Amino acid sequence: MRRRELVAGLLGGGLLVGGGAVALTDGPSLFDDDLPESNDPIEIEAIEARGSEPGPLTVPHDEEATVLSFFATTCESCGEKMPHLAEAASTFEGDPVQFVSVTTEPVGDNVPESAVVEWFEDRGGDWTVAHDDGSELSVAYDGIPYPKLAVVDTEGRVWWEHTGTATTDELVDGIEGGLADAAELDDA
Amino acid sequence: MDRRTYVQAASAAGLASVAGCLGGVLQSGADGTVLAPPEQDLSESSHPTYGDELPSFSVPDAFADEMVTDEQFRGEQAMLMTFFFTSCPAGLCPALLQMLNAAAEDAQAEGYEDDAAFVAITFDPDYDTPEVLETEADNIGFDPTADNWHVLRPEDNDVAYELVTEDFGVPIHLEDHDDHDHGDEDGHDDHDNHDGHDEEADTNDHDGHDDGHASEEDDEHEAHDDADEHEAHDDGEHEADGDDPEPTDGTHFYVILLVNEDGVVERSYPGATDRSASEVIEDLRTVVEG
Repeated sequence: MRRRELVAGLLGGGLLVGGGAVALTDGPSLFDDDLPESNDPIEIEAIEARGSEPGPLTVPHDEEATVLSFFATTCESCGEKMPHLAEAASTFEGDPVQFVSVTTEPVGDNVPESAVVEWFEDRGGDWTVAHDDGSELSVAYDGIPYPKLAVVDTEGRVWWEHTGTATTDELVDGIEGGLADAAELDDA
Repeated sequence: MDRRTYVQAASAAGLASVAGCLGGVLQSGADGTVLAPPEQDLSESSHPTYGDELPSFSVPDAFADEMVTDEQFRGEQAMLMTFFFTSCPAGLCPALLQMLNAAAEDAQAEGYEDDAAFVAITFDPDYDTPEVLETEADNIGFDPTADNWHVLRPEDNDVAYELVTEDFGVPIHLEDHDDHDHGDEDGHDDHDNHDGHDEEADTNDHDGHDDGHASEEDDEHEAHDDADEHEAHDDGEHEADGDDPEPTDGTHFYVILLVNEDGVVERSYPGATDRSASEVIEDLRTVVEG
């Protein structure tokens, strides 16, 4: 048990050093052993905003990939990242992928829902924005520290994740790469 | 400690093992511990760390008519312990509880639920009534009356403050500590994780950001600093976001303690919400296995 952890630490660590982005797989040849772990469906609550239909929402989506973006309205770098994320999201229009921004803030409690909506819309948000009451999703996908982005397939496997701000190109490349890896698994 | 540092440290350990030093890496550590010492020495921290005996405590269980003491776990159960308050404005306290919950679910799934206890102490009992705590547990998704869960609620905020800050060395600050306004959640108790991180100067690289915004709202900085770390960019300035209705001056140090059944701390996880729950769960499993 212990030995396996250490070796896993070595494999994972080598990929991480030098950047916030993590390539979670080297390609299909590793699928057997290094398939990212799947996650059970978790329900969050979508908020009414531009591009966001209110109501319960389950992650992962059972038919298409999900790009999760964890944020807080009080997080300055999350705000800086948003326009880039908006631009990146627009390049995936029509693709089988949904974008979901997620906050763990106490929406409707200490933080009014209107503040979340305003924050989201002011920065170009035009997709689903949701509240992770109880932080279950955030803990399952390591959403803290934010800003955190995760490309998740229909089984809840994470194929690309990134912490911090990023340029539009970095986001597009990362998301594309994650989606491609997920698709390769589907084809395999 | 930011994740990159952790992973680099883990890498170093892994390399050592590949070089044939498995015995050295895997040998048990301090007296009375199952785990080897953590990659980073946290022993200068104010809170109990690796190899320390857990401070003794005796606190009422919010959901049972009984006192819970450190001694009742001796020889019986390993323990994950954390400190929280439900009005934690950044939503990070739920993440702490959710990490314990994830471990409790793992214990259930893997069949070691009788060998591990999950203890969460509120340091704001004036506000965190049993009703409020029950709602919080519902939100998180655990049953606080379960045999291995103990949500502890000190008699009042003064007792709680002394217990958490003095006995456990976990920095907290509640703005309305002496004069709590039960009806006003907004005015209530922001926390500032930075002060907590300052206590842990050797565990992270946040120091450079600490000046000048210690009283601002905190989650921003917590996340932001880690992001900076990953991105290696430094914007130096943090400004309070005007969207937050009540930025207040408060402190809470996000920490989880892993304690073995002999009452010895195996791990402290400062900045616990930045960690992956799976890291904590792996350590817990190892400790339970002995």
